[in-house]
Amino acid sequence: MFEPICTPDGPKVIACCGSGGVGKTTISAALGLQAAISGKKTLVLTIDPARRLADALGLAAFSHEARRVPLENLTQNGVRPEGELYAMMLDTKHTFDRIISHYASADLQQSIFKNRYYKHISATLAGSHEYMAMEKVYELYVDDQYDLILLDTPPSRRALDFLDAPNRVTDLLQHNFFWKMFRPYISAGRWGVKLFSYMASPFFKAARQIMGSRMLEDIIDFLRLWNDVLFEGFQKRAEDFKTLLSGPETLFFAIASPMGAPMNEALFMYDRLEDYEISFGGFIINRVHPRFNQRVPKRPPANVLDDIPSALWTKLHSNFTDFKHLGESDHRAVESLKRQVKKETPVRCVTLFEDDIHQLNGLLNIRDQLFGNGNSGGL
Amino acid sequence: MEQTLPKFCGLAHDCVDEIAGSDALHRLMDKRMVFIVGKGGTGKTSITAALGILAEGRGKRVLLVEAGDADHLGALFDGDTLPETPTPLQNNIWGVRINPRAVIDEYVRTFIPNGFLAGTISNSSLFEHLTAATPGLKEVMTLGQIWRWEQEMIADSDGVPRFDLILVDAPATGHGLSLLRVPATLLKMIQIGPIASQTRTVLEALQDPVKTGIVQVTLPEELPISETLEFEASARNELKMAHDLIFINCIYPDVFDRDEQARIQSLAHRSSNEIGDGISAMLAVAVRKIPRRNLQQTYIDKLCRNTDSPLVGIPFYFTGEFGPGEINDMATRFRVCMQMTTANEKERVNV
Repeated sequence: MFEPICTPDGPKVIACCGSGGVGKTTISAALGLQAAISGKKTLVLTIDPARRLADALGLAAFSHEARRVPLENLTQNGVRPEGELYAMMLDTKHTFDRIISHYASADLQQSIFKNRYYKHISATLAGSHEYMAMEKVYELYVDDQYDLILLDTPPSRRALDFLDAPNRVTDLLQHNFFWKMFRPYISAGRWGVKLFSYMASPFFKAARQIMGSRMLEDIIDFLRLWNDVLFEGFQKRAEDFKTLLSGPETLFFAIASPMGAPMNEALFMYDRLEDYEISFGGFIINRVHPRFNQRVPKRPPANVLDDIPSALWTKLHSNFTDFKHLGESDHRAVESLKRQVKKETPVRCVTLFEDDIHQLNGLLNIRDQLFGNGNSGGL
Repeated sequence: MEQTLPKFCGLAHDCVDEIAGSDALHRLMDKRMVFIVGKGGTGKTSITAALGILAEGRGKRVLLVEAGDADHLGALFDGDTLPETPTPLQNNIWGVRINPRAVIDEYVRTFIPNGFLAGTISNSSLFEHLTAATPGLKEVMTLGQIWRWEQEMIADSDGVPRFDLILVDAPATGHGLSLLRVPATLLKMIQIGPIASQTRTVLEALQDPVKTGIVQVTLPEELPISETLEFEASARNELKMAHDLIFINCIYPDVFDRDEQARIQSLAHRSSNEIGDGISAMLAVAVRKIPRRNLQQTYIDKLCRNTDSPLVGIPFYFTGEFGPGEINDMATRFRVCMQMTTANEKERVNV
C-alpha cells in the first residue's frame, strides 16, 4: 500500500500532516526508517521533536544540522539497512533571517533586521512556521543530497496552512493595503512630497488613527526594502514551492488519532488536497486501541477462583469492559473514516503501545504495522 | 468511579497537595477572566465547559468564549457552532465565538465617527489586507472584545456585571501564547492612538491576578508535559500573568494495587487453554494497561517536580466521544475537589 516510499521512482518529498498530538514526528520517523532500510538516503525534518524520539534514534539531541542516525544496531533484529537515515530539526527562528541574508546586501540586511515591522512579521507572522518549513524543504530538495525528504508539518489545527504558506507570505506583502497604496511612489523613487500629501487624505488619517503613525512609517520602510530587494526572490520562491508541492515528486499523508477532532482534521485535509490536485498517500491512524472479541464470563470460573479474589475479579472485569469499549469506539471511528473516502485510499492503523518509543525497535514495530501484510487490530 | 473520587485532586501521589488544588479552584471561581490554554487535543474545550457548569452551580453568570479555530463548544451543550454574540446555552451560561474580523469592523465603527467612511473602510478588500498586515491586530481585537464583555453591566442594575466569570477556550498553546503576548509586543510598536490606549488597558486587566488567570490543560505524556512547563515559565516571566492551575487530563484510573499487579503478572503467564480465552484476554488487557499507567505516572512525577502550580487530575473517560454527560460528570468532580479546601470549612461540612 505504501510501496512508493520504498521504490526508487517514488516521491522525493513526503509531508505528514495532522493536528497536534497525534504522533506525526514518530510516524515520519517510522516511514523514514522504512525508506532507509529499503536503500534510500533519507532525511526526516521535524518541527517539535520529543527528547525521547532523539534517544530512540540514538541521537544525543536533534540539531539544526542533519545528523546521521546509527542504524547498525538494526542487524540484531535481522534487518540490514541498505540506505541511510538522517534527522534534522527545523530552525524556525533563523530561517527568515537567512532568507534575507541570501537576497539582500550586507548594509541592507542591517536596515531590514533593525526594522520593527520586520522583527514583528518574522516573529509572529501567521503561518511563518509553515513558511519556514516549506523554505527548508525546498532548499534541501534543490541541494539534492537526499533521495527522500520527510517532513512532519507544524502542529496546527489548520494543518494545511502549510500549503497556503508561500502564497500567504507573498500575498500578504505583495497585495497588502500599503503596498498597493505606496507602490507607485516607491518604485518611481519619488518618495516624499506626493506620499506626504497622500498621507493627509481622509483614508490615511483613518488608518493612522487606528494603527498609530510610527508603525505606519515602519511598514512603509519595510515595504520599500521589500520592493527593492526581496520581492522578486520571494515571488519566484512561491512559484517554485507550488510546482514542487503539486508535482509528482511530492506525496502527502494525513496522520490522525481515532478521536473526533483529529479525524475530522484529516478528512478536511484529504478534501483540500484533492482541490489542490496534490497526490495523497493515505491515512495513518495512530494510537488505535485494539479490539477484543473474546467473551468474558460474568463470574470467575471455578478453576481460577483460588487465584483471582472477587475484588480483583471485579476490577479486571471493569478494566476489560472499559478497554473493550474503547477498542470498539476507535474501530467505529476508523470505519466511519473509510466510508467517507474513496475505496482505494489507503487507511492504516498503528496500535497504541503500552510504552513510549525508546529505541529503534519501537519504530521498527510501527514500521511493521504500516508496511506489514495484515493491518493490526488485535494484540 | 466513586472510589477514585477522594483521590481526584491528589492523583494518588505524594507530591500533590490536594488542598492546593482545591484552593486554586476556589480562587479561579472568584476571578473575572480565565484563559484555558493547552496543546491541541488535551481537552481544553471540555474543561472550559465543565468549569462553566461548575461556576454556574455556584450561582455565577458565565460566558464561555471560543477564541481558537475549533468550534466544539456548542456541541458540548447539544447545540451547533456558537454565534458571534453572547447567546444563552443553559440557565446562566452563555456562549460566544470570537470572529476577529467582526470585532475589527465594530471597532472601526466606534472610532471613525463618519459612518459612510467607516463603512467604506470596513467593506474595502484593501481593509482586509490592512488587518492581515498589521501584526497582532487580530489578537488585540480579540482580547479587547473579551475585556469589553468583562466591563459590560446589566442595564439599570447599578453596576452589576453582565457576566461574573468569562472562560476563554484559547487557541492551542503556541497560538495561545502569541494571543496573550500581543498586547505587550504591540505597545512596543505603537505608543499613541486609540489602539495603544486600549491595548494598555487590556494589558493591565490581564496582568491583574485578582481579576484574570490562566489555567493549563495537559496530558500525562512527554511533549504535553514539557510544553506545559515551558508555558508556565512564559506566563510568569514574560506575560506576567497569574498561572493558577494545571489540569492533568486523561489519567487512567489507578485500579490495581501492587499485590494485584504482581498477581496479574503471574497469572498472565498461564496458557489460555488452562484459564480460557476470556480470562486470558482480561489479564492481557490488564497487563498492557499497567505499564501505560505507570508511564503516565512518570510524566506526572516529572510535572510535579518541576512546577509550582497546583495540580488537579482528571480521569480518562472510556466513553470515546465527549458529550454533555461527561462534562457534567467532570464538573461534579471539580465540585467534590473544592470541598477539600481550607478556605471554606463550612462548605466542606455541608456538601
